[in-house]
Amino acid sequence: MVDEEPVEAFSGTVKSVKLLIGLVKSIQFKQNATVHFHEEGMTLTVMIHHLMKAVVFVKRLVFEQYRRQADDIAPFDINLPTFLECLTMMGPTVGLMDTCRIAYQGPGYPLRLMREDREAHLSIQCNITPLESDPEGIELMVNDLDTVQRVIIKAQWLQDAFGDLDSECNRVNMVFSTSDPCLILYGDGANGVTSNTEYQAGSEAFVGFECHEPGTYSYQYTHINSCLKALEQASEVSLRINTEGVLCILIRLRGTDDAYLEYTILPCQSTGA
Amino acid sequence: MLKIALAMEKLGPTCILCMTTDSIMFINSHDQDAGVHAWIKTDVNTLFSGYRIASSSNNEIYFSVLTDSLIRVARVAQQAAETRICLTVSHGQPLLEWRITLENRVGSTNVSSHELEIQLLTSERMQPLMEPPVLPSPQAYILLPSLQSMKHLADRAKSLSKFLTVSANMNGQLKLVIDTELAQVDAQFNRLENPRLDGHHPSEQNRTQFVSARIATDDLVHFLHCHHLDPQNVICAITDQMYIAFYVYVNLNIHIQADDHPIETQSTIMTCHLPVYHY
Repeated sequence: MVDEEPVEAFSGTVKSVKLLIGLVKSIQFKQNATVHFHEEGMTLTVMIHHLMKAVVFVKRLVFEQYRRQADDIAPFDINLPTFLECLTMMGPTVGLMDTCRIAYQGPGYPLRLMREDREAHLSIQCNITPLESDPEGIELMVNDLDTVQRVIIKAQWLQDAFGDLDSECNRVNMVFSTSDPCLILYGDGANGVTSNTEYQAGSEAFVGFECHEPGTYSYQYTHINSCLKALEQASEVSLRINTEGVLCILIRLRGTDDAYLEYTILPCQSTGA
Repeated sequence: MLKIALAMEKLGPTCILCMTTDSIMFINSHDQDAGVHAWIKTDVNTLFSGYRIASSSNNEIYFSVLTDSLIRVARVAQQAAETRICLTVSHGQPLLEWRITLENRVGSTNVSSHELEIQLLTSERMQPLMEPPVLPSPQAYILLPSLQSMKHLADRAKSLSKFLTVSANMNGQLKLVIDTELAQVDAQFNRLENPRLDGHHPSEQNRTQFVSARIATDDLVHFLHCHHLDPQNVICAITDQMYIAFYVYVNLNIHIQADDHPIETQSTIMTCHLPVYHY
C-alpha cells in the first residue's frame, strides 16, 4: 500500500478515545454499524429490523482535527466488535495518550486508526475492513413538529425505572396524561403487569414535561433495554413521542456536550392507543 | 511457590516437579509435539529455607501434581508464618503434605494440614525431558517491552484473531501483526534492547531485517501469565518461521532467615517454547 499523503476522504484526530469507546459500547447490540462523516461530525448508526435505530453523534469538537475532502462521503459499514477491540488497543492503558488518528480514503478502502506514542515508543495501526451498507432504513426520522408528548428526565431516574422492569416482560408501556399521575411506565408480558413507575407533574425527576394530549404507547422491551448501557453514562434524557407513536430518546452525556446518543423506536403494532 | 504456580496455571492441567539437591524444575504438562512447552527452573534456596532430599535415584525425585491444587494450597501458604512440605505415602498413594502454620492477630497459632495427591514419575522417563531442548540459533533476540503493554495488546488480539505473527529484528524493533478478513492490526515497539548473546554476532547489514513466527494468540496470552513472576527481563528469540522462545529472568527475593540475614537468591529462569503455525 502506497504510503505518501494521498487525498483522504476523511482524516481527523480524536481527542478522547475513552469517550468513543464508551459510546461504541452503548450500541453494541448489533454486529455492524454504519459510519458517516458529516459536516457537523461523525455518526455511527445501528438498526434493528427497521423497527429501531440507535445513533451515536460525535461532534467535530471531539476531534482535534476534522477534515473532509468532499461534502458527500458515502457511508459504509464496519464490524462493531472489531472496531471496539481496535479502539481499546488505542486507548490509554498503554501509556497515557488518549488520542488517536482516524483516516478514511474512500469507498472500498479500510477505516484506519493510528496511534503514535512517542513516550512508549509504540505505534499501532488498525485497518478495519469496510462492509456494504444497507442503503434503506437509515431514514427513520422523527419530525419535531409532530411531537405530542415530551419529557426531559434526569438520567438516574429513568435508569431506575427501566432497570426495575422485569426482564421477562415483552413490552414497555408509557401512559401520558394531562392530569396526575402524568406519566406511568409499566412492563407487561408472561408474568402479567409488572413494575409500575408513576410520576407526578412536579416530580423532581423531571427537568421538563409537555403533554398536548393523553396517549398510551407500547414498545418492545428488548428495544427499550438496549438503551440501558447508554443511560449509565448519561446526565439527562429527553423522550419525545410523535403523532405516529414513534419514540425518540435523546441521551445527553455526563461531562460533555460534544457527543450524544439518539434512539428512535417504533411502537408495537397491536393494542390501540 | 504461588507465583510459579500462577505462571503455569494456563499452560496445562498438571505440573511436573523435578527436584534435585540444588534446584527444582517445574514443567507444564504438554504433548510431546504440540502446545506450549514451559520450564521454570529455580534454586532450592529461592523457595525453601530448609531443604532435604534423598532418593535412590541420585537424590532426585520427580512427580506430577494438579496445577489448580498447587495454586489452592500455595495461596493458603502465602499467609503462613511457616510452611513445611514433605513427601509421604498414605495407603499406597504418594502425597505432598503441606503443614501450614497460620498466626492470627492475637498471636495464637493454628496448624492446618493439606495433602496433594501426586503421581511419582521415574527418572528414565523424566531425564530426557528435564531440560528445555536447545533450539537452533535464532536470527533475532530482543528484550520485550513491559509485560503489561504486551498483555494489553494480546488480550484484545484474542477477540480479533486466532493467530498472530510476532516479528523482531536486531534493531530494537518488535511487531505484533494480525491479519483477518475484518481487520489488520500492526503494533510496533521501537527502541527496545537486543541483548548480547555469547558466541553470536549479528551481521551489521541485516540488523533491520525482521524475522517472524506465527503463533496462536491464546498461547501468547497464556504465556504472559508469567507476569505473576514479576520478571526483571524477558527475552524473545525467533528463528524465522520455525521457532519462538521466551526466556524469563526472575529474582524471587523472599526469605529472611531466622537470624535475620536475607538469603542471596539465584535467578529463577522460565523457558517457554511456543508452537509455530504456518498458513
